[in-house]
Amino acid sequence: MLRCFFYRRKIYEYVGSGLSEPDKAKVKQHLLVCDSCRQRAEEIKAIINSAEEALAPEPSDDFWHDFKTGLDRKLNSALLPQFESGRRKAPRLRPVIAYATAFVIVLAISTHLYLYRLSAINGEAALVNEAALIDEVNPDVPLGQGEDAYIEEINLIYLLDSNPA
Amino acid sequence: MRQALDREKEKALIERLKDGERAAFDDLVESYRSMGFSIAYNMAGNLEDAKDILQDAFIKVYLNIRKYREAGSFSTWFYRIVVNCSLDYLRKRRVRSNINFRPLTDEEGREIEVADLDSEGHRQVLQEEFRHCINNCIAALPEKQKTCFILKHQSGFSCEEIAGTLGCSMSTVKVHLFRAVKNLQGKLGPYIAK
Repeated sequence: MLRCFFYRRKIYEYVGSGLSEPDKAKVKQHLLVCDSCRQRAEEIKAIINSAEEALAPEPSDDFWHDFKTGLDRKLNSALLPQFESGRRKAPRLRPVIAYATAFVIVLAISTHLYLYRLSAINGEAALVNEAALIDEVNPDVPLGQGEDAYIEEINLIYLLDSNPA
Repeated sequence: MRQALDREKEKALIERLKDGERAAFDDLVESYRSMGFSIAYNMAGNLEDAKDILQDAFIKVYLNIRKYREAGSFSTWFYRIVVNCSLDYLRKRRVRSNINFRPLTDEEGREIEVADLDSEGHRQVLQEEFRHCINNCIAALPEKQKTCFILKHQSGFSCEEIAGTLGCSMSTVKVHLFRAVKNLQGKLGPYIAK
């Protein structure tokens, strides 16, 4: 049994012709007397023979034609990124357009707010002026009775303001 | 292992390839495709996958040819690439080999009647089935055992050549081979006994 333990490791090499002549003779001698190891050797031989018989088929010309076509296509695809990275990069338009659009929107909003504020200020000043003018209007002129006279008086005050002399 | 080209021709071809000559690549493919196919086919088990593996391997050769050092054999370098591509491909494909031994009982647990094993016709059928089982069992081996076994017994490499291709020692190769055969024997032994 102990001998079997040592020979078991050698059986595969014995079957595969990987042993030196003296070792081969020793294993052969053991196999003659040991049924268990002989059976093991036969099993290994059957496995190896079957594996070696299952050789790759010889591919047809069509197979090699497809193979070459596919290989060229794959190789070109693999080379394309390298080719592109070697070229000078053109400026990328997308970010530029996005930044420009955002800038225009912000500018438009700011301008609108600024103008609105100005007009509001101007409108307020006009109201104050008008109120002041109304105050200066002769209180004797009754409202609703002589609107033409009232407007005429305001125009007169404007005229005096613009021509102080 | 067959040497696709003699050393001088191989060296000249590689120089041309390093210079970026596409025609040199075509010549290289022509010279090495058969041997590469044998490895890829035995690893993958079918033509289509073998074709993809070999294409990937040649593309890697083309893109990395400048990394190849002439100190080593080009064949060894190329076969290593094919083996690595095969293993990558198999990992991606996530092969789950289903080893289907012929059941000795049917679905209800009743014993199936086995035909006369002595007839010649039946023997051939059994042989064919056994070969199929062997291929499944080889496919189910752990990666390194499978690679060593295929290179040794199906692609005809010596242990030394396998060691060179896989970048390990000969002792390691022998251990992998021994374990591979032991595994196969464990799975197929009872089948052989029948």
